[in-house]
Amino acid sequence: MNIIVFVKQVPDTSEVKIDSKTNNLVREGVPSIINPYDENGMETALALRDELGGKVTVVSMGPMQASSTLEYCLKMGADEAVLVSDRLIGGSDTLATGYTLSEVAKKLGYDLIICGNEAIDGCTGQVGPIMAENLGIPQFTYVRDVQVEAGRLKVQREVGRNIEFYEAELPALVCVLKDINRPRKAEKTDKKVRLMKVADLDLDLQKIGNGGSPTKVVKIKMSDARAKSYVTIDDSLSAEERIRMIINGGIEKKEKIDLWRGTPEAISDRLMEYDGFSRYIV
Amino acid sequence: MIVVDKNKCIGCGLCAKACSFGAIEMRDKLPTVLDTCVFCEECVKACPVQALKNDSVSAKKQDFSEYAGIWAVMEINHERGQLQKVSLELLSEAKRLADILGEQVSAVLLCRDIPEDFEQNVANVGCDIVYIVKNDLLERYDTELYTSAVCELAKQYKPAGILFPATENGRDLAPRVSCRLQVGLTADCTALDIDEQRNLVQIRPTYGGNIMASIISPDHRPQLASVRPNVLLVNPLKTPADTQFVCVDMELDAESSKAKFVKAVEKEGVFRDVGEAEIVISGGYGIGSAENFRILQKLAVKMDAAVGATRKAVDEGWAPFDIQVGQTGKTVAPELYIACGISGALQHTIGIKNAKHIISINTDPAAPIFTMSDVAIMGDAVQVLSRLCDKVEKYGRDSLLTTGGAK
Amino acid sequence: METRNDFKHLLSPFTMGKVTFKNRFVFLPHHTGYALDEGYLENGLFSDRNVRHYVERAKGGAAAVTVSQNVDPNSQMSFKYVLGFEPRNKDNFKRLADEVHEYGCKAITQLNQGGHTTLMNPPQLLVAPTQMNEPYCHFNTKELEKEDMELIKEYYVNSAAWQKELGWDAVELKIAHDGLLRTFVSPFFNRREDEYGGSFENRMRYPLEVIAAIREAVGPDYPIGIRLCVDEFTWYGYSLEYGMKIAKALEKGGVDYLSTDAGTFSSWYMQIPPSPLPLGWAIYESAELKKNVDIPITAFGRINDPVQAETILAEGNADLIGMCRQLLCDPQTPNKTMEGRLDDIRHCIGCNEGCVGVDGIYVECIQNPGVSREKRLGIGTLEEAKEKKHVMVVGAGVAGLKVAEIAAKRGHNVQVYEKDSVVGGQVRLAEKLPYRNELEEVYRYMKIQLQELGVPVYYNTEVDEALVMQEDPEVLVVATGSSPLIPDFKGLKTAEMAVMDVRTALKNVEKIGNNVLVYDDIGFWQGGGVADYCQALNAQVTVVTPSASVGVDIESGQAYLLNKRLYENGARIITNHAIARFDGGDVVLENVYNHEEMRLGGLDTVLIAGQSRSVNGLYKAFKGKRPEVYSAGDCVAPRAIEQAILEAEVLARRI
Repeated sequence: MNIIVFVKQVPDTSEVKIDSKTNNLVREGVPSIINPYDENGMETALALRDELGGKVTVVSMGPMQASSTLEYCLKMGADEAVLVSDRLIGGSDTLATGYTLSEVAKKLGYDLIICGNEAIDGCTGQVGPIMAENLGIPQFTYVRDVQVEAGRLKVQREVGRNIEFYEAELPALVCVLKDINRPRKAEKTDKKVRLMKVADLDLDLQKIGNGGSPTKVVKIKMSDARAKSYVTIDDSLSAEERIRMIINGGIEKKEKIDLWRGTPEAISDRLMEYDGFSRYIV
Repeated sequence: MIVVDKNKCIGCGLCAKACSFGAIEMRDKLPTVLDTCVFCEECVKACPVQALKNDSVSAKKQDFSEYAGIWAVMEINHERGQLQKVSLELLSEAKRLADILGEQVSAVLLCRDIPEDFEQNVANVGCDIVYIVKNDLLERYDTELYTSAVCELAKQYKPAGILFPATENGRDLAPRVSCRLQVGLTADCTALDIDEQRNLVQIRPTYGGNIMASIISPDHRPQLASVRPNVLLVNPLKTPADTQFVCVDMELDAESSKAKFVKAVEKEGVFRDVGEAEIVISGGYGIGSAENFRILQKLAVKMDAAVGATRKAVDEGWAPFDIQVGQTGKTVAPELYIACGISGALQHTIGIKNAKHIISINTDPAAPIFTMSDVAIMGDAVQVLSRLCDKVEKYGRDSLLTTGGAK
Repeated sequence: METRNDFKHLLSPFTMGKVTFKNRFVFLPHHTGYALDEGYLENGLFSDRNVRHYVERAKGGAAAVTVSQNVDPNSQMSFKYVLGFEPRNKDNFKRLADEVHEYGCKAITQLNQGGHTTLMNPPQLLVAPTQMNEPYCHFNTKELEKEDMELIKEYYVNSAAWQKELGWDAVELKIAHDGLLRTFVSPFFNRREDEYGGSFENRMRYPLEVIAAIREAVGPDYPIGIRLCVDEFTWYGYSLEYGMKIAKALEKGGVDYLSTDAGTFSSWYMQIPPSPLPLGWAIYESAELKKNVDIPITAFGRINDPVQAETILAEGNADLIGMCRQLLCDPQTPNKTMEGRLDDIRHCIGCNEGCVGVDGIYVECIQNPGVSREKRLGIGTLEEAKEKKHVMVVGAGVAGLKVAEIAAKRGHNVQVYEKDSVVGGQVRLAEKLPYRNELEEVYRYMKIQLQELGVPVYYNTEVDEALVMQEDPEVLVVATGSSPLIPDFKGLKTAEMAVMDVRTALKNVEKIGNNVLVYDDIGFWQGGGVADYCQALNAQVTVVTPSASVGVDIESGQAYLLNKRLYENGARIITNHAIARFDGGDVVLENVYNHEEMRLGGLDTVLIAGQSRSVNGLYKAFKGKRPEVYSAGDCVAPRAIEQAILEAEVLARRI
C-alpha cells in the first residue's frame, strides 16, 4: 500500500515570546518542531505499513529548514521524504497550499493520504480537505482510528459526544487527531530528503504562492487575550486601592460576594434559571 | 514576495521594527525578508521611501455587484432533532453583518426533516430568507453531498459571505466548499466585521494566540468564515421578523458520496481536551473521590464540556495529569469554567484567570475562588452536579432559545 | 518531545561582569537577628550562627546569598543587625565567602544605613534628609548635615571595599523599603533646600554619589546592584511610575543590576508580604523594570515554586529569581529542582509567623525547624538511627506527621494511626480561614513524604490501649492533640443563643447564625480568623477581646490586614473587654481596666476562641509501663504549628 503523509514544521507556539519593548514576536530561539498532529499521522502510516506492507512517503512544504523535520520522519521509519521548497510558493494560504500539495500527491501516486487534523500555528485544519477536493477523493477529519481491511478503509471520527464509524474505498484522505497513538522513537538512518521545486511539478502558477491566495492578512495586533501569568496593577490608583487590587488578584472585588446558599435541589434549580449557566446548555 | 528596491532603501530599519512576525532582518543595512513573512504588508506601509513592495500577481479585480447578503449554515443535533445552538449564534451575527451592508441575511438548512421549532427560532433571531434543501440523502452530514448542496446554492443565489459553524462537521465542510468554489476561507474567527470596501473582515488569533490577525478575501466571492460555538452571542429581536422559506429542488447523486456511514456510539469516559473546550467543569479536593469525579464527567458529556482537575485531585489519583489545570498543568480560557470543590489556590487560579465566566461551588464560604467567581455557591458540589445532570438533559430537550441562550 | 519542566531558564547560569551565577536562585537579603549583641557599641557581630545560616542556602543550591549589613555603627535598625565594617567580623565574613564558594555559590554584600526606621524602642538616634518622623514611627530624626553625609558615604565605601577584599563577589545597596538612601530619593521625605533636594536630579544626587564612590573603590568589574523599592504603597509615597524614573537614573549611574522591592515601614505588610498577597504578586513590577532598563532584574514577591520561577524567566519578566522565605522554608529548593524532585519541595506559605512574627528578635520558620538551628537541625545533620525500631505514632496532626516523617527518614519502621479520615488535625480547620488556605501545605508536604517513605497511615482508627498492646511497638508516640475548652461563664447554661468553641463552629458551619459574637480570648488566629470566616458567610460579626486589639499575638502584617478586613466588612470590634457573664439573650462584657459593664443583645451565636486542654489519656496510660513512650504537639501543651513541628523534629531525632 502506498501511503503519503503530509507534515509541517511549526514553531513551538508554547515557547513563542513577545519582546516586551517592541511588542513584536521573537522568533529567535523558538524551537521548531514537527506539528504534533502530524507526528501521530506518521505513526498511523507506519503502523499500517508494518501491518499491510507497502511504502510510506513523507512530504512537507516550507523553507529549507523544514528538511530537519523530514529527516526526523525518515528516522521514524518513512521510506522516502520530499521537501517542496521554492520562493514561488512563499506566502501561500490554505487554498494555494492545498493545491500545490495535491499536485505533489498526483505526481507521487498514492492509495491513502494521511495528514494531521490541524497545525498548531495556523490551526485552520483546512489543507487536508482542500487537497482531497482537488484530488476528488473522499475525506475524513477528526479521525481517531484508521484501519484498512481487504483494501477497504475503515475510520472512526470523534464528533461531539460520539464516535462515528465510516467506511470507504481507497484512495482516500484522512486527517488524524493528536495523541491517538504513541509515535515511535527516531533511529539513525542513511536516507536523505529529496528536494522538489515548482519547476518539477506541473503547476498553474496563478494558483500558487501569495498570488494564488484569496485570503490576505491586513492587520496584526498583539493579542490581549494571551494569558499573562501575572497581574498588572493600575498605577494611577491610590496606594490603598493598589494594595486592594493586588490582594484581590487584580480583579475588582465585588462589594460583598453574593453567596448562594441552600439545598442542592434549590441551588441546581437556581442555576438552571441563571442565564450565565443555562445559555451554555446545548 | 516582498521585494526591496536597493536603490531606494536608506537602511533605516523601520520595516524590521514594523514586522510583528520577526520576518525582516537588517543585514548590512538592507532588509532581508524571511520565510516567516505573511504578506501583511506592514513593512511596505512603514517604509518612508516606498522601497518595499509585494510583487505577487493577484487575481484581477472582478465585479462583485451580483453578490449580496450574508448566509449562515445551520447545523442540526441529530439526537434531538433540533438546531445546534451555534446555528443561531451564526445567524444572529450574519444578520448584524447584513444590516451593516444593508443586505439580506439568509440561513441555509440541509436536512431530511425540518428540526423542531426551527421556524420559530429563526424568526426570533431575524432572517430574511431560509434556503432549505430537503432530501433523505441529507439526513446525516456527508462531505460530498453537503458540499455539493452548499456550492449549488452559492452558485445560484450568489451570497457575498457565508458563515459556517466551526464544529467538527463544519470544519470538514467549509474548506471543501472553499476549494470547490475556489474562494478564501478563514477558520475559527473570534470576531467579524465589515470594512470600508464592504469586505468581510475575519479576525482570528494566530501563533498560539499571541497575535490577532485581520484577514480579508477582497478579490473572491463568496467570502467564507467559520466561527466556534459559544463565541458569538445570540441577539433575539424584540418582535419576531417575517421569514421567507425557499425550498430548493436539487438533484443529489447518492453515488457521488464515497463515504459510507456505519454507526455512531456515544463516547464513554473519555476526557475531552481541556485546553480546547468552551466549557470546563473542574474538580478539586472537595470532590472527595474518584467515584464522585465521574459525576463531573457525566455532566460534562451532557454539556459537551471538558473535565478539568486541580493538582490535589490529580495527586489523589482521581483524575489523570493531562487534565490538570493550573500552574503545573494547563492554562485554559473557556467561555465557562465551573469550579467544583476547588478552594482557589493561586497555583490553580493562575490557570483559569482568562475564563470568561466562572461559577464555583464549595462548602467553604471563604474559599478564595469565590473572589474571582461570577457566581459563588456554598454547597456540596457533587450533590449539586448530580441534580444538574438530569435537569440539563431535560432542559436541552425542551427548548433551545425561549429561556436560555438569549442575552 | 521535550517537556516543559526542564527549567532551562531557571537552571541556566547568568553572568554579570566577571561574576557568573550558576543558576537563577538568589537568596534575598533579610535581617536575621542572629548577630551577637554585647551591648551598645559592642554589637552587630557576625556570628557563627549567621555564617551557618547562609552556608545552608549555599548547600541547598542557591547561586548567590545576599547578606544584610549595616554600614554605620551609630545609626542602627537593631543591635542584632550585622555591622558591615567591623573589624571583629573579619574572620566570619571571610569564612562565609570561602564556605559558600565551595558550593559554587556567590556572596553578595547588602549595605544599608538605618535612616529613619528602627526596630528598637527607643533608638538612640535616627537620621533623615529632612527632619520628620517616618509616619509609622514615633521618633523624630536629625536632619543630616553634609559632614554626616560624607561620613556615612565613607562607611559605605569602607564596607564595600573591605568585603571585596575578603572575597565577596558583589555589593548591593539598599534603596529599598527601609534605610537612608530611599528617604533621599523619596519626594515626601526629602525636602532639602541644598543641592541634595528640591528636584529629581538633586534627590538622586546623594545615592548616586555613594554609588560612584563605591565604584571607585571596587573598580569597574565588580557588580554593584541596588535593591530598589519601586512602589512605596503609601498615601504619601511614590508609585511605579516614579520607581521607573529612579531605575533609569540608577542605570545611567553605572549600576549593574536591580533587585525589585516594594513597600515601606508605613506599609510594612508590603515589605515582607504575607499570605493575603498572592504568590508572585510583584512580577508586574519586575516586568515593568524590564521594559524600562536594560540591566538585569531580580524578581521577588512570594515566589515559592520553581515552575512559577521558570515562567517568570521564560516570559522575560526578570533575569534572576529572588527568594527569601522559600529558601528559609526549604533551602534545598534549587537542588530539588535540579533533580526534578518537585513534589519534595516544601513551599513557603507566607504565614510570616516564624520569620517576621518575632519582630526582629530572630528569624525562624514554622515549617523548617532548621532555620536558626542549622548546626543541630540543618542539611546533613539527620543521622541514621543506630537501632531501627518499630514506632507507633498516634495522631496524624502536624506533630504526629513530623515525628513519623523524621523517624522514617532515620530508618525506623513507622506506622501512623489517625482517627479521622484525613491527616492534618487542627490545620484542616485553620486552612478554612480567609487567606489561610495555603496552610494545607504544612500537612500535604509531610503526607507526601510519608507516601514516598512507604509509611502506612491507618485512617478511621481510634487507638485505644488494646490496640497498642496488640501492636506492641518499641516506641509509642502520642500526638493526639487537644480539645477546646469553654470557660465556666456565669449564666452559660441559661444562655439563649448558641455558644460553642470555634473548632466546633468550623466543623458545623450551619450552626453559625447571622449575628455572631466572636470572643478572641487567645489573641491568635482562632479568634480574629474565625470572625473573618463568619463575615465570609455574610453574618454580622462582633469581635470582643480583652486585649488592646484583635489578634494581638498574630504577626503584625497579617494582623493589620486581618483587622482591616474585619473593619471594612463591617465588624463591630470591642477591645479591652472580657465576657463577664451571659444573661438570657444578652452577653455582658466588662472593661478590663475599670470593670464597667457593657451589654450586647441581638446575638444568635457566640463563638469562643480560648484555651484548649491536652488530650493525653493514652500517654498517661502507658507512661512508665512501656520502654519508650513520648508525646508531642498539643498533646503536651496546646500551642501552635511552629512549636509542634520543632518539638516533633527534636523528638524524632532522639528516638
